[in-house]
Order: sequence, then structure tokens, then C-alpha cells
Amino acid sequence: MPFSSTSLALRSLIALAIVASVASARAADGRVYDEARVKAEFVERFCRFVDWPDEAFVTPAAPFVIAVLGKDPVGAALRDVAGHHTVKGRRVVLLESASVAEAAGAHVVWVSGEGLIDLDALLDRTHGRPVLTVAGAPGAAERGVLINLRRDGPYVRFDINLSEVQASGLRFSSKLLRLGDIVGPDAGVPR
Amino acid sequence: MVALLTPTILVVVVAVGLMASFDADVLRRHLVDTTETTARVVADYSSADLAFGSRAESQAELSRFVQDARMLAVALYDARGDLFSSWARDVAPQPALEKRLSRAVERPAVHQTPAAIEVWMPVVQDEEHFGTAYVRASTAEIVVRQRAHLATLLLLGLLLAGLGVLVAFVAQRVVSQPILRLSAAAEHIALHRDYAARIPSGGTREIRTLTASLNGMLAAIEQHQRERDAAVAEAGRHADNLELRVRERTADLEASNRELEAFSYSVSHDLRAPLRAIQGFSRLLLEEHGRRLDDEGRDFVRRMAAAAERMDRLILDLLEYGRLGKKATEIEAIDLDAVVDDAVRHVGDLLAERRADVRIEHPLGRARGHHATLVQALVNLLSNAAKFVQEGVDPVVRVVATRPQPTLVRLAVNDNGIGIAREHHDRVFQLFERLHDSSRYAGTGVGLAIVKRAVERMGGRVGLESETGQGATFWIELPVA
Repeated sequence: MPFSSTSLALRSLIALAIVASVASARAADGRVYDEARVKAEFVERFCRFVDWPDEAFVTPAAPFVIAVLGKDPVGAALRDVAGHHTVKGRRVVLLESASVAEAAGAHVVWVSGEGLIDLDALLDRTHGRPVLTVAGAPGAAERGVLINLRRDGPYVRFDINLSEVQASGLRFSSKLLRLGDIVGPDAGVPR
Repeated sequence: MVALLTPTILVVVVAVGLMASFDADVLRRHLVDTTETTARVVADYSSADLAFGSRAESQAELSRFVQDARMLAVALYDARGDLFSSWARDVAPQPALEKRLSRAVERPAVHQTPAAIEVWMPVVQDEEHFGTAYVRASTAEIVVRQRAHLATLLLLGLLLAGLGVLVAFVAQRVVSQPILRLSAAAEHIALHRDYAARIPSGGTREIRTLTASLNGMLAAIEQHQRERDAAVAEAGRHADNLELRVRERTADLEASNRELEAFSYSVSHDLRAPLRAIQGFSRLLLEEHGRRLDDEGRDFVRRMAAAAERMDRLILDLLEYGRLGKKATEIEAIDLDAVVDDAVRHVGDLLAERRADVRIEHPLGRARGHHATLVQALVNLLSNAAKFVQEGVDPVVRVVATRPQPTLVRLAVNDNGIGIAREHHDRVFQLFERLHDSSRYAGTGVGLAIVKRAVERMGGRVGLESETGQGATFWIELPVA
């Protein structure tokens, strides 16, 4: 297995070296979607590459909860994207216009542009807990959001705050880590 | 030998063939496994790339999955089946990758062709289908291996064939040649009956045993032959001995025969004296005192005289017969005409008395014999011819000479007498064999025995041709002079 233990440094170098490769409004299938739709798909797909600890779910049959803090087109697009999917074999429940408290109890939180106001409050509550916070604002990752989406030319790329991820108890797939840019205290550290 | 090797070669070839086939099968299965694993790794590792559209990173990474030289091409197709990223080894021409998948890939799929193995592997992350990984592997290595197997097979076959030839060669040297030697030796022995010869030992144990047996047999034959030779020599000695004894015995017999003849001669001779007395006195009795006897008395005396005369005749014949046995006869060329004339003169009285007509067909020629002896024999034959005729018939006697063979003269005396039945022909030449009552035909029963003895003394033969009532022809054969 050529990739099982290849050095993380090499992989991060490659990831950093690729400038114009990440998806954009042009989706993976080549069709052009609006940016909100693409970002919504990203949020949904991050779930596929992240593992939650068992205690994140109250019961074995508990649904997978995605919350939208505030309101924006991405949140609206999530309705289409996540509505007819299951994540981790669980029914997906989408909480739109969630409060900070509601969002802090979800498994994934999309921090809308509107929700940025409550970002610090949210992060206070989610820090060190298995809640995948995703935002789309410059510098959000540095502030403590686990994944921050950003435009890079025609593509959508994402930054990962690795130290927050590690603190959260979530397990990020190396495949995800390979594609994202690491920010925060661990930036530049081999993954 | 070939019969022995063929199955072996066949078994080895089949075994190696099966092994090659099995090996190829295993190799192919293993390659399929490897290709599937590679596809699984690519699929697993590339899910994020597909999910987040990281085409460039994917493109950069793909070649890293295929350090195995057998992998010819790798490609990723997105969820809609469009080519997402690809890598192809820069080797021998291979088919171009599909731009768009021609099939839906729900689960892993393997497609094998003689040249390649293709695997399609769905890219799934947390039950979400993001696309398809495709890997193509080359089977060239397997083909090469198969060729190597084929070469091994051929080499092995050649090796075995060579081995077979070698074994056959060795076997010929070890088995066939000693057998040929054996055969040649046996032929020599059979041809020349040379039982003293011995076959040189050699070859395998079995052949040595066979040789020893044959030599033993030869020794036995030789021994038997020696014993037989000794027995034959012994028998020869016995035969010699026997011959000697026969000679001695013959000499004894001849001596006693001579004694007997001498005895019979002297007896016959001595018997004549009293017989003469009987003859003389009976004649005197008749002449001097005949008148004092009556007719019956005179008849008795006459009969007595006749009997005495007949007895004298008999004694004379016996003496003659005996003399023929005793007397050495000198064989010389004789004139048959003279002999016959002499004989006719001897029996002239009898012939005249019987009014016989004697016809001699001169010239009779010459033969080897003894004049007086032959005269004696002819006298007997002529007198027989004159005597044995039907009453009232005048004898007609013919004497002729013929040549039954160039070296033989046959003197035949033919008559018109009573003849002799065929069944009696053998007996007539024996002593005292009389076919007829002496009262009808005078004779002593010695005459023809004398003829036979006389002719045989001269080295000739006698014979007879006759039928009852047809007359008789007596013949004498002598060598031509």
C-alpha cells in the first residue's frame, strides 16, 4: 500500500503546491452550479470524511443533525443536498436558522454569513466537543472554525484548523486533510 | 525400450503441461487479485479527490499507485461516468482510456482478455458513490512465463528422449550384445557340433546365468558323446569278436561237413560191395537154378535184381553228388557244342531206347565253366527230358543257347513231357525230392540236385519254366567266355 505511511510532510507539500486545483462553482462533475450549492455539497461531503465518536449520538438510532447558524443561500442549498441523504447510516435532520445553543448540540454547523455574529459564542460552546463547524468567511478557521471554505479563482478550497480538530475529538480522514490547507497553530506542521 | 520410455515421457510432459497450466492459472488469479487491490486502493484513496473535485491532485497522485510494473493504466471516473483523471504507462501500444464509462459500476467488476486484466471499482465513501476507479494490468508476464514453461517442456522432452536413447544404447551394450554373442556361439556349436567349445561369460547377471547353463549343457553333451563313443568302440570290439567266432564256427562246420561227406562217400562206396554180391548172386540164381524155380520164384528173383540195380544207381548218384561237393572244379572257357555232343553221346542208349528226337541248335557258343561237370548236368537234364513223357508219346528234346544278358549264356533243354506244376518248381532241385511214383518214372531223386550243385560249383544258375502237361524247359546260365 503505497500511501499507508508516506510522510505527511510530502503530502502537505503537494497539497500546498497545488494552487488552482480545488473545486469551485464548477462542481466535480464539471457542471456549473452556483457557489452556494457547491459549498452546500462540500459541507455534506465533509461528513463523509469525518468520524464522530459514539458519544456524539444519544441513541444508536439518533439522527445526524446538521444545523445552520443564521441564514444564507448555502443554508438554503443544504436543504436540497442533505435532505435526501443519510450520513453514517443515519437519517439527516437539518436545523435551519438555529440558535447558538441549538447549533452547539448538532453534529455539523454551517456558520452562515449572518451567523458570524454569534461565531465566538458558538465556538465557546463547541470547543473541545465533536461538532464539525464549517464557515465561509476569511479568517474564520484561524478564529477556531474547524473548516473554512474560500474561493480560489474558479474553485472552492478549504482551510482546516488542525489543533481545533484534534481538540474536538472528531477524526478527520487523511484524505480530507490532504486536500485542505492547514491553518492555526499547527499550520506547516506535517500531518 | 521405447515402449518403456514413452509412457514416462508422456507422464512428464503431461505433468509439466498441467503444472504450466496450473501455474499460469495461479499467476493470472494472483494478478487479478493484485489489480483488484490496486483498484480498491485507488478508489479508497481517491474518494476525497472525487468528492471535492481535486482533479490536479488526483492526476498527480495516480502514478504513485502503480509502482507495480504490470499495471498499465489507472483512471478515475466521476459519479456521472466522465473521465476525472488518468495515468497510462508509456509502454507498448495499449488501447486508449474511455472518456466516459460505457457501463454503470455498482460493484467491483473484472474483465479478462488474453492480453490484459481490467478492474472497475466503485468509489464509495460512507455509502456515497463518488465515481469509479479503473485499473488495467498486463498479462505479458504470464505469457512470458508460459513460454518459459513451454521451453522447459521442450527441453525436458528432448532430455528424456536423449536419456531414452542413452538407456537404449546402454541396454544394447549390456543386454543385446551378450545375447548376440551367445547366439553366435550357439550357432557355431550347432553347425560344427563342437561340444567342446565354451561360451565366454559376460553381460548382465541373467545372461551370465544363461551362459553358465548353456556351458553346463555343453559339458553334459560332451560327456554323453564321450560315453557314446566309448560304447560304440566297445560294440565294435564285440562285433570283431563275433566275426572271429563266426569264422571259427564256419571253419568247424566246414570241417565237420567234409567229414560227413567223406563218411557218406565211404559208406556209399562200401555199400556197393554187398550190393554187387546181391546182384551177382541173384543173376547166378536165375541163370544156374532158374529152371528149378517156378514162375513166381523167378519173378521174385528178377525183382530182387532190379531193386539191387536201382539201389546201385542210387548209390552211384549219391557218390556223384558227394564228389561234386568235394572235387575242386577248374573254371575255364569251354565249347558248349562239344559239351552237348558229349552229353548226348553219354545218354545215346536211353535216347535211342525212348525213340527220342534230339534237336540241337548249333552253334551254342562258349561259356566259362568245367567241361566234365557241365556234361554231367546236361546228361541228367537230357535223360529227364527223355524219361518224363506221357506214355505212348515220343520225346522231342530241343537244346538252344540264348544271351539273356551280354555277359551271360543260357543253355536251355526243352521237352514235350508231362511238365511240372508251378507250385513244385522250388522243390525239384532238392535232394530226394520225387514228384512221381518211381514205378511209373524211373529215377533216384538225386538228378536235379546234382544239376543244381554242379552248375553252382561253376558259378552259374539253374532254373525252370514249366506248366503241368505243357512240357518243361530247364536252363543253365553261365558267364560268357
